[in-house]
Amino acid sequence: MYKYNKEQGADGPYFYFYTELNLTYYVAFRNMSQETFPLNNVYSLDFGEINEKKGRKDTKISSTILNIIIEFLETDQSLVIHFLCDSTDSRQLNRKRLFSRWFSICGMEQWVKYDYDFDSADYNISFLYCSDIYDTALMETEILLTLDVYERAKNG
Amino acid sequence: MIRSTTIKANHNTIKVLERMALDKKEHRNKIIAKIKEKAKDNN
Repeated sequence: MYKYNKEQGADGPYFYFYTELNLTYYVAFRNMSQETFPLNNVYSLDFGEINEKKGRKDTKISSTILNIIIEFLETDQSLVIHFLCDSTDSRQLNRKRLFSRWFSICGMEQWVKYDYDFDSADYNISFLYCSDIYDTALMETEILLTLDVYERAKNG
Repeated sequence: MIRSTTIKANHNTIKVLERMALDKKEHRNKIIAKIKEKAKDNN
C-alpha cells in the first residue's frame, strides 16, 4: 500500500498518493446529505488518476484506494456512500464490476452495496450502507425519492 | 451483500443522472486542481 495524504476540502475530505511510476491518484468524498433520515449522511465517492493515466499491474494502487475507503467508512457507521459510474468513456460497466470486486474482498460483511441500473441510460449508481443501521426496504424507497429531491434542490 | 435493481429511466431520471455526473466532474476538477497546486508549491 502507498502512503497517502489527507486534506479537508470545502465539501468533504479528499486523499491523494503518488505511485512508484509517478502517477498521482486521488480519492474524494463529497457531502451530498439530505435533511432527513436515512439520507442525512450521504457522501459521494470518486477516485482516479489526476491525468487519467492508467497504473496497470500495480496492485498497490487498488489496495491503497480500498484502504482509504474503508478507513473513511470506519469513522462513522452511519455514513452512506454514493458512487456514480462514469459513462463518458463507455467503461461504466467495467467500473461497476471493479467496485463490486473490491467490495466483495474488503470484508465488510455488515455493509450492503445496492446497485441501481437504468434500462435506457448508460449510468450505474451504487449506494453503500451499514445494514445494522439502515433497513434495505426504507433505503430503496428513499433512494428513489432522493433522485427527485436532488433535482429539485438543484433547480431551487 | 450486493443487491441490485433496474430502474426504468424516464426523462427526469436521465436529467438527474446527467446532473449528478456533471457535479461529480466539477468536484473532481476542483480536487485535481488543488492537488496539482500543492505539488507545485512543494517543488
